[in-house]
Amino acid sequence: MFITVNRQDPRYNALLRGHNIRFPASAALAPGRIELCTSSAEAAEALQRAVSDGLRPTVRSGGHCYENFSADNPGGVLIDLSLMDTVGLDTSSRTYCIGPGAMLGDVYKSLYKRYGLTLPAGSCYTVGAGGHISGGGYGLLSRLQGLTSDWLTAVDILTVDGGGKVEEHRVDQKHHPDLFRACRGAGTSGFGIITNFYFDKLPQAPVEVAHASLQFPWESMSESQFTDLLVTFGNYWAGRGRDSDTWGLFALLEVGAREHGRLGVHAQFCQPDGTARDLTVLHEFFDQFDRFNPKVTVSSRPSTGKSADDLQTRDLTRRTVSSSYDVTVSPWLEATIGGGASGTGTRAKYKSSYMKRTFAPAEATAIYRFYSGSSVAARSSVISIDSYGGAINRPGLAAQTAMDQRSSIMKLQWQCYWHDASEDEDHLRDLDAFYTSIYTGTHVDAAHQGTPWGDAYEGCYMNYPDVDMLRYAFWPHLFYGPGDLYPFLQRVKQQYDPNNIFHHAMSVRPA
Amino acid sequence: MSQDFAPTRRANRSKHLTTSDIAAENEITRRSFLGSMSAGACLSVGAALLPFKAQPASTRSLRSEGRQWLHAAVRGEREQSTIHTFLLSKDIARHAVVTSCPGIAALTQHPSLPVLYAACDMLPGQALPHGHIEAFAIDEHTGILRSIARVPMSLSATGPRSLAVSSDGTSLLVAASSGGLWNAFHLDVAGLPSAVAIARKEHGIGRNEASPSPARPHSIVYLPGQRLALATDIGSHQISILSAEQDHIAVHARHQTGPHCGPSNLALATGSQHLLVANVRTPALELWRLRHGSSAVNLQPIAAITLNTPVTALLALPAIPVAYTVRPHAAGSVFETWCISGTSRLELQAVATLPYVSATALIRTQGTLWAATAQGLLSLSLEYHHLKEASIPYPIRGLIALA
Repeated sequence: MFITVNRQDPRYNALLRGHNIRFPASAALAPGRIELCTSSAEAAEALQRAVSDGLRPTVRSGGHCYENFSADNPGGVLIDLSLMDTVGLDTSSRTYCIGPGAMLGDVYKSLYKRYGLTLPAGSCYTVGAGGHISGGGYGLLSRLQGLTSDWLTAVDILTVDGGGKVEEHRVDQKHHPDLFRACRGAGTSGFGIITNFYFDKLPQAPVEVAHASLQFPWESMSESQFTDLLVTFGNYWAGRGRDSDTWGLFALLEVGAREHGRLGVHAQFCQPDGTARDLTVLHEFFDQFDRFNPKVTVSSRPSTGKSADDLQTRDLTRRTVSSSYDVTVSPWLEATIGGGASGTGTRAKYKSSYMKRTFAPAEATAIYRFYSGSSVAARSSVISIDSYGGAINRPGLAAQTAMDQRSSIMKLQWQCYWHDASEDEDHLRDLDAFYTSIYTGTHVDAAHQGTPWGDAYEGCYMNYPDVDMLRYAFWPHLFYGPGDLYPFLQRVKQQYDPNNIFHHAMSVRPA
Repeated sequence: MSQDFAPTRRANRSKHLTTSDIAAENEITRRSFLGSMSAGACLSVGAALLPFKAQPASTRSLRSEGRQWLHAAVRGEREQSTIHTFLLSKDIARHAVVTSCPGIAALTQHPSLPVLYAACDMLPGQALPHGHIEAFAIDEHTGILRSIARVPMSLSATGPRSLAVSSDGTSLLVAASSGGLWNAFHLDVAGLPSAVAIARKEHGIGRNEASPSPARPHSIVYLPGQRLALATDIGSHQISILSAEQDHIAVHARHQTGPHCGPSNLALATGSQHLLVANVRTPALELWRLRHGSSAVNLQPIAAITLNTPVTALLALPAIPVAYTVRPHAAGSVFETWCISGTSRLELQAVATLPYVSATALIRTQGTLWAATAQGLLSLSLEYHHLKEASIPYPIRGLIALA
């Protein structure tokens, strides 16, 4: 029997909040109860009870939803799957099975230790598998091995039929293939509750990977040098980065406030055979940044061969500064296990875009000027410019999945963090204005100004949801592409959720 | 119960008659309809065909001096929906005020406070899918409406169809047809709705049924003196007994109408001893016996009359066993007078044709019926509860609701 946590339960407040403490936005918007489920059967029972009570169900796995899709559910039912965290081999089907509540860090550990395998998924280790896999899933090994959902071969999913009855399906390419395809990238968008992910096979985990970072002298960098840096980074992925021998290279160009000196490239590399014996590709990548006078920071482990001759300097400028202490009262669970994930215990806002080519000068200028400024959002945000492409862009995957963006070379994520609720409006406004400014100009289609739309872009990533995009009537096409994918998803919605039981601000809208 | 009306045409007492039978029997034509009306009414109808000259109402102040206001919702394009307020004096309506209300879909008034509530659908370009409720304070002297609250309905509560306030003035219930949801708002002592809606999600008829259909909440009627409301759902073919509780909407009972019925409009009749239900999927008018105590309601179907077109407007007189329906007929509508006999039979008493008119709401004030029609505000004068004459004093196109 699932565990019901209502408002009077001492665990309620601790279990209510996810990692983005903006949500629920107020007590009045909070769910009336939380149902903790440990199995598919319990999840089905909790869902049936919610539907029969006429209450809206929302779902949470790891609690990393960027928006209010789980937490803001006034008087409704939050179905918590965090205890459904099994990782292993399903003996009946002989497939690897991951529960939606399994955190990525535990998934990696379990798959690696037991089988020497891995999942090309995200780098935030407390993210739950439920939202991550069904929304596409992407991480440091994705250029080499594809998106997480590219490996998915079946899911168990609970749906609600037209008469209000919960049904459980095992869906794959032969059984309910349309629903299965929807679960491979749009699974968080309102079809049902996924209770298990199945993988016929998984990629070998690399034996070793090389890590390296460069920090750039942001404080002395001119606008033209900054533009050159971004263009250089992007040009690599548009050119050399398409070669398969580079697919083991993942790099992130992080841009933050100039006053904080946050401008650097972080890279992880392994060869396609999963070793890091030959670092030629890594050095070739880093060599192109020499003219920007970087500081090479210590890599995570000693390297051999050519890399052993690299100049290694320790960044001695970083130091901690003590300050007078504040007393913060927080739920016990949060105080005990909080941290270890990006954005945990802070108020946050995120945005995303896909790029098919390197930066236009206008984009680089907008970024340079914003982070050279002193707005609250400039001081509290970063852009992570991730390498993309490689195995993700293999032909045919778009038609088999609900991830349409298969031509991009970079994926950008804006992350903004703050603590004080009174600063919400300023942060949200400034970040939105900044994002809009990047996509305003002749480099963006006239009818889609302010959005990453056009020949150079592939819209946004639904696993980085952004309700600001709802102000554009074409927002579904930003996230699902301009083609037939969204109408397809609406047909799936009509068939499997005819009463729109599963809905949030950005779920697939009934046709 | 007394029957103090003189039917103009005796109707066939067959239980399953259609009004096409009556029309054929009585040959109601446009010519005969106009001929049966007073000369003044003919001129009024004729005037309806002339271009409407807008009254500069907003600059005039019509003192009510205890008279009544009638509010009519007009659904226009995008943000051009409005509420037209009329000052009623006996059977005369004088146009007083126009108030902008984008997306308006339904109207109701607070039972004891001068507050008007409008349910509005989401507007084109609106980011989140939900309607909203707007509350207006009614200036009882001038009829001017002043917006005092605007609260969102719950997420995905779209397509509001009707709303009603409990007789104690503490709850507002809304039927969100497109969204398949009921919304409830608590009302404070000033009639202001709570900031966050309480939602109840309904589900429709599943694929195992002959005609699967999603839930489509439609009409709501509160029982007098109670917090219980009767509510129809066209999609699930149900009449539900609902109440708005502190943090949820309770369902006290569900009554299935027949398959494919699609119960839509509701009206309490004969001092709340009966309930009239109009079905749209299989056009019919049903009579249900209603027994209700303080916390329980018993409904029992007792009669049904098949119609050839669905009822679009329904009204029952509160204390007299008479009801009125309007529904499409030929190039206009038919206006039918019904009687609920002492033996709980539903009998058609009279039929009148309303050429070129389609109505969606009926309301009765001071002995006159008013209808919201696509052609304007229709005045229906009664004599012995039967239609005496009809006119459109204000041909304002697109009226959809009255309060």
